[in-house]
This record gives sequence, C-alpha cells and structure tokens, in this order.
Amino acid sequence: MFIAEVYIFLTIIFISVLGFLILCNFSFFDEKSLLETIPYSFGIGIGMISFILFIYSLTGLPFKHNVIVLLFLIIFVFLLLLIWNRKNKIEFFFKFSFSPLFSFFLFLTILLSLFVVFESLLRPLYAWDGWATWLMMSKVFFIEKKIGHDMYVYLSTDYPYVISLFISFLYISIGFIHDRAVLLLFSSFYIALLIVFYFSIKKYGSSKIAIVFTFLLASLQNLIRHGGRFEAGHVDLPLAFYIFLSLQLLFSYLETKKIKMCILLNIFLSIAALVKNEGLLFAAIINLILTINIIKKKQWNHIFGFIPFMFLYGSWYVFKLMFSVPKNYLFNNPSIDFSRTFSVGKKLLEEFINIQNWNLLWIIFFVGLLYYLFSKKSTMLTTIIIIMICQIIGYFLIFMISPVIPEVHANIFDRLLIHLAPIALFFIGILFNREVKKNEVNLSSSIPGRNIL
Amino acid sequence: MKNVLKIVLYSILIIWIILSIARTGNNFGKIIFEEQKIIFLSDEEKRIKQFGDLHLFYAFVKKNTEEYSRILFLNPGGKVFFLGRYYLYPRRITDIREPKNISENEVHKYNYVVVYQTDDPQLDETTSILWNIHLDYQYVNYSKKDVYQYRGTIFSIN
Repeated sequence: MFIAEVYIFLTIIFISVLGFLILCNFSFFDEKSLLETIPYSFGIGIGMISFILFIYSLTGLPFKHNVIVLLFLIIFVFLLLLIWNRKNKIEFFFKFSFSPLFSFFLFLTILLSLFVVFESLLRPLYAWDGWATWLMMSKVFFIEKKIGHDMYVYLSTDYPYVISLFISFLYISIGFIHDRAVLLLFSSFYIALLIVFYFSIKKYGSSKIAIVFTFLLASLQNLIRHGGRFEAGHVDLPLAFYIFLSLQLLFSYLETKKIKMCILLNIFLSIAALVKNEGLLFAAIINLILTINIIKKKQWNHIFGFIPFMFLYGSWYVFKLMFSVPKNYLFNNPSIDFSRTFSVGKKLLEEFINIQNWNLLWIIFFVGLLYYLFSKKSTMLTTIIIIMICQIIGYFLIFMISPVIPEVHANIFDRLLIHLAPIALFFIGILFNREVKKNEVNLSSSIPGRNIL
Repeated sequence: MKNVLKIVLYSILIIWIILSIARTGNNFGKIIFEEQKIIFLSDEEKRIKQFGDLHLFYAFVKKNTEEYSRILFLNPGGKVFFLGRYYLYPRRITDIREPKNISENEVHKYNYVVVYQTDDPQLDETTSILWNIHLDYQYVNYSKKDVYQYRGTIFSIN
C-alpha cells in the first residue's frame, strides 16, 4: 500500500536534485536559500527529463526500465562532476520571521498544501482531459515504449509532450501504470508554485506581506482543485507554474543583464511551450519583450540567449512537420468570427467574478489596475500588465476562431485564467508592498532622528 | 480618486483574507463530511463509485477481447468514448455514434464491434437505449439495471 506513491515521491526528489545540478552550472543560486532553489530545480528537472526521453525515443530505442534508470544516473553523475570544483554560494538555512501574523498564515498555507496532497492521493484520475489527453498519452508512450507519430494520429492531437512524457517516466521508474499515484505530481506543482511565489513577493518587500499573499494564492479553490481535488490531471497548473517562473526569470534578466539569465529564461519558456500550446503564446510575448530590450540596449550577443528555445521547441516543431502530426482542430478554419465578441467577452467577465473559483482575486486585480493608473509607474508592474493583456487577447482570439461555439467551451475559461492567476496576485502583492513601504517611509520621516527604512 | 481606490483595495483585501480563512476551514470540513465515505475504499471500489457502470463495462470488454485488437465502438457520448479509449488501450478504438455507420464493409476492418447503450443522462447524448443492433457474428451480452439501464454487446468479427 502506498509503495507506488513513495517511489514517485522519491523520483520527484531525484529529478529536483538533477535540476539543482543543472542550475548550479548557471551560477543561479548566488544569494538564494535552498528552499528558494527547489521550485526552479523541480521545474527544470522535469523539462530536461522529458526532453532527453523525447530525443532518446527519436533514436528508435525502446523505453526500458533498466536502460532509462541507468541513463539518468549517468547524467546525474556527469552533472555532479561538472560542478564538483565550483564554489556555489547557497544558504542552506533560510530566515523566517516567527511573528504571530507570519506563523498564522504559514500554518494555514501548510495546512492547505497538506490538504491538496491528501486530495491528490485520494481518488483515481477524475479530470476529463487527464484520461482524454494527457495521461492517455502517458499510457500510450509507456505501453508502446516510444513516442511515435502514429500515436498522435490515433489520438488526433498535437499537444506537446513534457508532462505526458514525464508521467511516462514515472511509470517507467515504478514499472507499471498507476494513474492515481502520479497525481502526486500535480500537488508537487501546487507546492512548488507557492514556494516560488512567496520568495518572489518577499524579494520586493516584507515576509509578512509575502506569506499573506502566498496564503491567498494557496486558498484559490481552482488551484486547490487542479493541485489535487478532482481536476488533477489537467496541465493548466503546471503551465501556470512555468509561466510564473519564466516571469521571475525575465525580471532577473532585466535586473542583472546577464546572458546566462537570458539562456535560462529561454529554457523555461521552451518548457512552458512544450507543456501546453498556450505556453507558446506566452513564450512569444516574452521573447518579443526580450528582443525589444536587446535592440534598445544594443546587447547583440544576447541574441544567442534564444538558442535554447529554438533548439528545444524547434526539435518538437520539426518532429510535428516531419511526421505529419495532425493540426490542432482549433485551426481547421482560422477565420475570425467577430459576431462572437460579445458572447466570449460575457463568458470571460462571468469567470472574472466567479467567487467560487477565484474568491476576490480578479475583482481586486482590476481595482488594483485602476489604482495603478493613478499611481507612479514602475517598469515591472507595467510589464506585467502588458503581458497579461497580450495573453488574454490571445485567448480571446482563439475563441473567435475556434470551430466550437463559446458556450460549449464554457468550462475552459477557468482553466485559462489559472495560467495568469499567480501573475495577477503577484501584481497586487507588489502594489501592496509599495504602499506599505511608502507608509513606513512617511511615518519614519515624520519622526525626527529615525532612520528611513 | 486615488485615495478612494486605496480604501477599496484595502477593504477588498481584508474581506478576501476573511473569506479565504473561512474556506480553508470549509475545505477541511470536507474531509469529515464528504471524503470520509471514500477514504477507506479500495482502488477498485473508488473507480466503481467514480465511473459507475462504465468501469464494470470496460472490465467486461477487457475480459472478452484481445489486448491488441481493433474495436469499432458504437457509443452514446463523448465521456463513454474517451474513457473507453483510455481504459481499453492498447486496444485501438474507433468512435461511432450512430448505428447506420456500421456497414458490412467497415466491420471487416475490425476484430470486434462493441456496442454500449444506456438511458443514463450523464452518459447518453443520442437516445442509445433505442438502438436495435443485429450483426451476424458471435456475440456476448452485458446488462445492468439500477436507476438506469445499461446494455452492451461485443461482436467477434475476426
């Protein structure tokens, strides 16, 4: 009992360590605590394993348990040797404030995380897209011991492979298909998202505000469902995770102006694009921002930062072309039906005020947006708004060209907004951080002799 | 205007925090009032509870068909087909929703023709219970009745 779950948990730990070793080569961990590195390690570990298996399959060799395990052990040892003599500055201990407020919200966040893990282990795969698409592909890859184009023809899909192939890897690791135990992966994405979200907000303000907003993210019912309760098996939560990570890397790149960060960003963008097709839209938006930045700053050598994306996503695109993978049904007749504008807009608006799914997230986001318009502008917050507007316009256009009417797609809107929910809450969190800092400065400057915080 | 928006923002945030704390409590309440019914069930029992008759029908199909066979599956709706495609793999399933699409020429390309009929509104999109399918091949029948009727037939072609 629970043996499969334990194996899967240990495999997830292993790939996180693998990811950690990859990221050490980017000197990514300077001035970061170990806890802060975990989401990035986990994210890149999954992407790299899936990509290596994809390339492995193209060689014609079948997936065999002993061969695959040996392959990744060799890669593990290789990466370890690569960083053996490097000095990486990692703080193994992290500082937490144990004020009553912090402790209370940390306790609630941990409780919710445990609840999501419990829920993910409770039921067999329930999500429709889980058995119709994502875990269907995992099962096919595992049974056929390869990725073949005929599988895509049979499944009539062009969905990318990262999550499905990683789940196949989990099946290979344990030796059999267990579609309940692998749902632990989705609760892992939930927890990893919370960790990276906390440190992202904390970077720009106080740990108290960070933990409050992390709790608010954790308590979004839609996120809880996708992390484990009924909707685990959809890949929208993993995509939201990679989108949020990519956004943080974009800000790191814009701050540090290092080409290594551009390369790392493009690796995560390619993983996002290979998780779900909507990730490609996000990757295009971010790469456009990068391009404009490179041209403005005349940092022409940073163009090489796009190579990982061209290689990682490009290999999948070439595979689709070479083996005539069926085109996505959405683009069967790509003409825009403008008569749908009102119905699509109405569905979107209904989802924004859906308190059952989102509590008050989107309401506070739009009020915050309005408030920001009257406030001092910052590059970061303006960039976030531009990205979100572009992504939402992209989704809007998809509904306008889809051969299926918006009313039939009604249950998709909540899944699309998951991709942007962490970014929206991050926006609000930074806004509040700014207000709190401003109040603290005002307060201290009104008291003679007190240092400005 | 900015000060008004600031007050509104803080107010919404406080309400949201209270709402989230309450919903966190509600989520844990679900363990006691909802989940305790299924916590101690076996995996098989959970699947029957979750998928109802479909789980039993697919077990019947698995038992009566070869593992790598090709199946022409006449079914009443999307959930039946997609769940069947998942559960029955590596059997290759072709989806048809109307009896008139079963032709003699078509049938010979497959090892089995499987028919599933029900009046369960959760599964049925086509009034499948009214179908009357007769093929001149060996067959096995499946049938179950509780609140709704569930019927299935497997015709062995090759």
